[in-house]
Amino acid sequence: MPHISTYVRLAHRSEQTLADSFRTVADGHAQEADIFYTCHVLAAMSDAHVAALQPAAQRYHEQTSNDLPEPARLHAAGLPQIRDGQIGLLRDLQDLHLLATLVQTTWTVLSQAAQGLRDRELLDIASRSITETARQLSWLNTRMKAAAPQALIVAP
Amino acid sequence: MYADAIDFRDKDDSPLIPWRTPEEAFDGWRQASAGRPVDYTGLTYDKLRGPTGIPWPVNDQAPNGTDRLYTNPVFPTATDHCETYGHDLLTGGSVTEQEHRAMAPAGRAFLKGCPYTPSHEEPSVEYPLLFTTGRTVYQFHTRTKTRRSGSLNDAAPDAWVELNPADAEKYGITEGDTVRVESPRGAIEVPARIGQVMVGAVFAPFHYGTFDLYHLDPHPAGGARQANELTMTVWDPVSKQPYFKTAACRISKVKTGHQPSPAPTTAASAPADGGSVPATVGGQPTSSRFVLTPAYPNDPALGTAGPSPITTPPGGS
Repeated sequence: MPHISTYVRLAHRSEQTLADSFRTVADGHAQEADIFYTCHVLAAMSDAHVAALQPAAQRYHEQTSNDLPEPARLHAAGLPQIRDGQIGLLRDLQDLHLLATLVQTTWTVLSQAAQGLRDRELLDIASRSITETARQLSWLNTRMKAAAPQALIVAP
Repeated sequence: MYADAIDFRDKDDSPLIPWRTPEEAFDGWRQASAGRPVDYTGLTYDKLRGPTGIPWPVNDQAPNGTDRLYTNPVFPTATDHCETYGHDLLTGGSVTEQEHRAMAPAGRAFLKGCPYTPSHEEPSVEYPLLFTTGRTVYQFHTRTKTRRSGSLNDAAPDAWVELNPADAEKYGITEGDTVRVESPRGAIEVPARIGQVMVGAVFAPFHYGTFDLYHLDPHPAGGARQANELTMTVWDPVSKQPYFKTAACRISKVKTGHQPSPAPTTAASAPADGGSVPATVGGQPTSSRFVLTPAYPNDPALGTAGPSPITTPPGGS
């Protein structure tokens, strides 16, 4: 089962990318106080998932070298910096949503594998993480809805 | 009216906005509440002018209003009836209609929990004390009304900061000394009340220093008095209430005081050392007039209206 380690690594990397990108958006859009605080809270959620995954990652010899071929375009790049203005914030939230969706589907895939393997520890991590990924997605949706009218209609 | 000036009309060519007086607007509004959880259809200007308050809903079923809600107990949580699907308490993320429906609330109440999260700012080496803001009983908000009342304003005429005796001793501060209280965002300089706050905490009332700025109203203490200069720009994700109760601060003595702080000696701002400060006293007695208790149509003593009693379960006492 060489590919499960590929997906454990994908969970690890995509959660880390999501956490870092939440922090980029938090600090870049800090003048929006709710963005600053909520994005840091949501980044901490992803940090916790990365930490919780460590024991399973060790058991599955998470692939760190390139000795196994990964599917092309497996990883998604994070947000290196923010975009300015209200329309920029909207685009940044949309990017975060895309990254969170990758995290969500990765946990879905891993929880299926964990059930097949009767791996309760991995299943537990995946189930807990996917619940919180849903909260991240829910907030992103809510905040995009709040930002959209002003950004699309009013902003210069 | 703007609607008239713009000449808004409906499909029948009648004015789009039919109301012209406050009462007509009220009537339009109560019609809009028909069948909703807060149903005001039975409320009128005449009833509002009557002798007593009228608790909602007020409608054909409860023409005198409703004293107790949910006596059945069925709550307005049904997905097609509720006013909101709710939010994630941590983030404010909206619950969707689909998610709400999947919970099949059907009149059951939701009790939502949330894990503990620390304050947005906690004491540090640089800002070692907790800062919190609040009220005195004698003033309301920024005092636009209460400062016009002589007795109220005399009881709490100006800003102060409350310190615990142990902290005051540590910083060499005594009653009435001007203290600089500083957070990462701003500072106030106000007289100290050595009072009842817990060790490590600093309390300042938020009533002072907004409209009555010193450049308009020069004051011997000098410096800013607005306690919320120190608090953070952050709010609750669901209710959007600002977090004005938690911040970190540091304090230092600015100058020695020659009289006690203007804090009232009653209620929460009472001094730790009771005898050291002249007591806050009231003004001249006010006149009062005895008014008969008005008749209340829902009075339980009359047995004419009110909620259906809750059935005691078998074996209950």
